[in-house]
Amino acid sequence: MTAVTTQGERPGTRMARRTRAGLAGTLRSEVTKIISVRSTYWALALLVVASVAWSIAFCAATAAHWPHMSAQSRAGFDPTQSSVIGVVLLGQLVIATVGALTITAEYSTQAIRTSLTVMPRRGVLYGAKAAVFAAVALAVAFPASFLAWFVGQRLLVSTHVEATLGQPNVLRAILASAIFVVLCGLFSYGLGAVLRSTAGAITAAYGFLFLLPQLARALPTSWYNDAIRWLPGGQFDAAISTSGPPISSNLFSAWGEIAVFAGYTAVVLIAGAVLLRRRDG
Amino acid sequence: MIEARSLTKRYGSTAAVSDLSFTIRPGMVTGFLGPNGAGKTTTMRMILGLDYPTAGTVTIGGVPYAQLDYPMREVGALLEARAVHGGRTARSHLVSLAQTNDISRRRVDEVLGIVGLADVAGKRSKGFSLGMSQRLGIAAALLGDPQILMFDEPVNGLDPEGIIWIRSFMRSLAAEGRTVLVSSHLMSEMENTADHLIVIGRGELIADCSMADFIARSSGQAILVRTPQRDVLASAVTAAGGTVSYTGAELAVRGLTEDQVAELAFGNGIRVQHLAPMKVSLEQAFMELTADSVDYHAELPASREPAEHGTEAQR
Repeated sequence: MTAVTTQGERPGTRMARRTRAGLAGTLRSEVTKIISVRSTYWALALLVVASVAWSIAFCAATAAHWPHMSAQSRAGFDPTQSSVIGVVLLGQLVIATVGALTITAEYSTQAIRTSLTVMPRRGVLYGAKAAVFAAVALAVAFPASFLAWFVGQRLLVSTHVEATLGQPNVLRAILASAIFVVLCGLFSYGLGAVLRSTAGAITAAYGFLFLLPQLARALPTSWYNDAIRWLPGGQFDAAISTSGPPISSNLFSAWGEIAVFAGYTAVVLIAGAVLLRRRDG
Repeated sequence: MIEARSLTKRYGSTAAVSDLSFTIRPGMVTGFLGPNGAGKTTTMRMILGLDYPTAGTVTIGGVPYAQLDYPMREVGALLEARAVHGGRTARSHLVSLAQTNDISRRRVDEVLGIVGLADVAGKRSKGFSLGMSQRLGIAAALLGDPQILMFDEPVNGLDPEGIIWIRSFMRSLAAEGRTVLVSSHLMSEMENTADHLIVIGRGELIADCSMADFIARSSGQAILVRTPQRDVLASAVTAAGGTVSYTGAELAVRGLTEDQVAELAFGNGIRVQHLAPMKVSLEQAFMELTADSVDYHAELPASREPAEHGTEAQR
């Protein structure tokens, strides 16, 4: 049998200065984890493809239909919103799943035990996971938004109403859609940490993001108008429109809507962190 | 060195582990023994900081696990071999673990070689057999070249070859001066591996002693003698201060050594056909000790005794 010890010094005694396993190594570890499973690539490719496909379908159809559209419909058409709304609607489906799985897959495989054993500073593990996931989500969501917008505008050339980046609120809409997607992912990640179950976390995320705004419609209109801006998923399609502030009479501004959702995301993330630290691993 | 002091873990009103104190020393294999549900895994999880004790403490070289600077360089643990993401290759899995403790990639390749997985390092682990998964788990435990190694039920579900490999591996780790803690619910498993035993039942300490003491402690050592002159020997033994009992055609002698019995027989001109210490089944000893601490006793139907139970008890 082979001797187990490495040649020379033990790894732990190499450095005289007191160091400890910490955030830097854990971040590297989480990068390795996320890039070493195929599902990451499939899911993120799906995010890009779905976003662009929506844009193509919506914008191409509009362009074809344009000559027959009424002046009123033409005036109400928002070329930017129409091209990036797929990023929001389909992207949140995909990213909520990926975000939840980032942590719940560790529970379903029980790999969480190993993760917590090699990095017993639980907050460090939790933060590193969230940071790496958010960075990857951002790196995919931004290009997806831009690509969806760009392709959409090319298809709308025949209508002569295609948007340019220099127009008011166009860049805001593109950025907001990408940021919303990243926040959805983190929101779902936090739910995953709280619920420790893939099915539970995804169901809860979809419930908050899709179902709650629909249920709110059952409220009397005046109540609904007051409530909707405070809901997590809210009416995010309005936040990516290019009409100037206020984007809609019963909503906050676009950045305000993002801030509200970021607040919910922070609450869920903190709840996940507290529970991860407090509960048996 | 692992030190547990009054370690207690309660779930509601049920105590999984109660007031457990022990010290696990380096240079030997310590067997952590108890029936299923005795609290072995819970104790190991508390050692590793996964579960928080309700009361008491457990430390690694005087420090709680969670405060170790580089946990992987102090303690290597294999809790559940299949607890890995199957979509990741063996190497990626180990690299991701190594990075958290600033361990080099060279060491990853080294441990893959040690456990014999170098050829499948690039394969995704979902295709691994249980034996290979076990080796991958051991590779992970060895990454930091730790002085303390913990294995929870490492031979469960392994084929004979795998069992032999893991046993000799644990022995070699202890021979290098490391602290090895291995849990099992099978006494027979410890027979060939452990030097020291910590036995628990229903979360409470039953025994903390060397393997030799454990055997000696159980139901007294007897010497089995086969002779045509049983009664003559019996009276000679009794006269010499020993006790006898008849077991079938043989005589079981207690209170004298093998040498003393042989001398007695020779001195009295008694013909002896067989003389040997009666091997006390460790399993028997274990079952006697833990009889009161098994949660659920299966009532054996009087008419037909299950065959496996019989063989196990006789082994």
